Amino acid sequence: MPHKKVALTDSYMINMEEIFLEYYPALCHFASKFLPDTCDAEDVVQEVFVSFIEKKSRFKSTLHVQNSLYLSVRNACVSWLRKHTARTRRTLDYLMYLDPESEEAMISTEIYRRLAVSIDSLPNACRKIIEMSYLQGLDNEEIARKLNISIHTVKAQKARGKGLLKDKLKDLYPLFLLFFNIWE
Amino acid sequence: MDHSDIVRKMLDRIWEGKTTDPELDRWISEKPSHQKLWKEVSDPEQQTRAINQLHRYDSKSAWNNIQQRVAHRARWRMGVRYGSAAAALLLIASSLYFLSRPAQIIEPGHPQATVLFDQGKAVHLDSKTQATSKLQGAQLTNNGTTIVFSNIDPRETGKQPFDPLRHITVSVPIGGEYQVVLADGTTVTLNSGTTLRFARNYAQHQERIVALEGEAFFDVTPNPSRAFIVECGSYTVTVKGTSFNISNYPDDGYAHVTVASGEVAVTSDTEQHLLHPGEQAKIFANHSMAVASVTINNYTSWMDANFRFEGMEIDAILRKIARWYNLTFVYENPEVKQYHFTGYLPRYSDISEIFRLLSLTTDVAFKIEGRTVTVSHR
Repeated sequence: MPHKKVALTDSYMINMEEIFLEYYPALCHFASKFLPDTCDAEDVVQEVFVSFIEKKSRFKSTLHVQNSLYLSVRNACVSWLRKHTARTRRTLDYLMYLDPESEEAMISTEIYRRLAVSIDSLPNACRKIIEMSYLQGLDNEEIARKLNISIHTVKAQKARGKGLLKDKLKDLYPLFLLFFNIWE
Repeated sequence: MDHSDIVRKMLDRIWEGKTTDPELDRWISEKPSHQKLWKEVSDPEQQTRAINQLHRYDSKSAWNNIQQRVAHRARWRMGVRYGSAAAALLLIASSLYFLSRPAQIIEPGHPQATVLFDQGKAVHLDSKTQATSKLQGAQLTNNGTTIVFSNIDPRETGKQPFDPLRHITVSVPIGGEYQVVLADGTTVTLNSGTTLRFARNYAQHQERIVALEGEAFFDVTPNPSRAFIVECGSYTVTVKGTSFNISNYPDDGYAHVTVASGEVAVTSDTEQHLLHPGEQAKIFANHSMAVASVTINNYTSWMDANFRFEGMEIDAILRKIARWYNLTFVYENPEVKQYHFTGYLPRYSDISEIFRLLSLTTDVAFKIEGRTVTVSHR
């Protein structure tokens, strides 16, 4: 009996898991711009990963990862819509607008993803304040009251957070060098 | 300016509020879709909303899901065994059923039958043919699972004997089941691969005579003055009002009559036995008979949601499965036929569930190719 092994603990899967955890929410967000609901989006994205794993796809670089993922998810969305077009008139409209807008959808998704990842990676005290300010929309006074710290500390932490974020966001730039060329 | 610049410049502007960047301004004003994009990503509320949306996806559980999908498909396609750590799982996962190629789905049987009048016109019955019709003097009411015969031509009265040329035949194909209600209210449930034949004048004749090949459960309306007789080739079964099961398949080696209620007389050309509830007569090819006490349920469960088997040989079980799922079984190791199985098997699930359950407790393995299943020792 052929005994080809797909070991779920090998380094390949560990790498895939890392990539997955980093991109999954963003890719779902991206897919949900084309698909009628987020469950379908999650399903499409998971299927894309399953087929990457089954083909044992390897990526040459982080940039290659991004290119492949967004492109594959986009294509998977197109197939999904073709398959389900008969169902609703709405999907027809989606299909019509899909191509010109997928590029923009990817830019915005990637921006949000980077913002989220960067915020997540901030030191705790800083992150809390940035989250409250950006994600919950609280002003400095409210944050100071909630965390029981001075407004001055809030301002200082916010400035520090912004600086750190800027550095972190810089790290991602090289990834974008060829990122969008694949679309052309 | 390429796209990576756009993203960088946009992030810069988002965090720093830089406004003096003619290149970015030009790009943004280039197309309405670019303007829309910038408006969206630069709006703090929209950022908040988007980032919160990202946080809503549960990556960890999605990853578990993916691992399961990959493992599941790999197991099907390549026959991967898990490591020895999963020894308990191994028992199930390594059964040949799982190791076989991803099988086509093999569905169970469903209600279907054909009614034949005097070797003439045939009427097909299934869940889609719900109708009442008058056909050659017979009134038929069909609801998709049951056909009721009533008012069979009143002119056909008298004391004619059972006439094979003037009869109605109900045939249930392999993979079918159907219920027949005769003119006197007697209910006959027909199993797959079964033919029931009765005279056109069934209702008027002194004796209620039917002929059976295959398997059926009879619930006979009591009538002391009119015996109910089932002709099964080498033997006949005579009752007054009772319920019983007859399995009379030519490929089974022996037939058996199992009594659920009342009294049943089984007569061959050499022997006669009177059976009581819970008793079963086996009729062998040489017409000899043997009577034994049995669990009634084991022989009537084919009408329920589950087959019930008690220490039954694999061979006998698979003959029943073969009729219900329209399959042919081939034995790679003939000794497997003698293996026994006790338990319930679902009648209305895909075949894979049956094979899984059988191989769970019995050392058998199944390999499906088209409609042929190879059975081997595991």
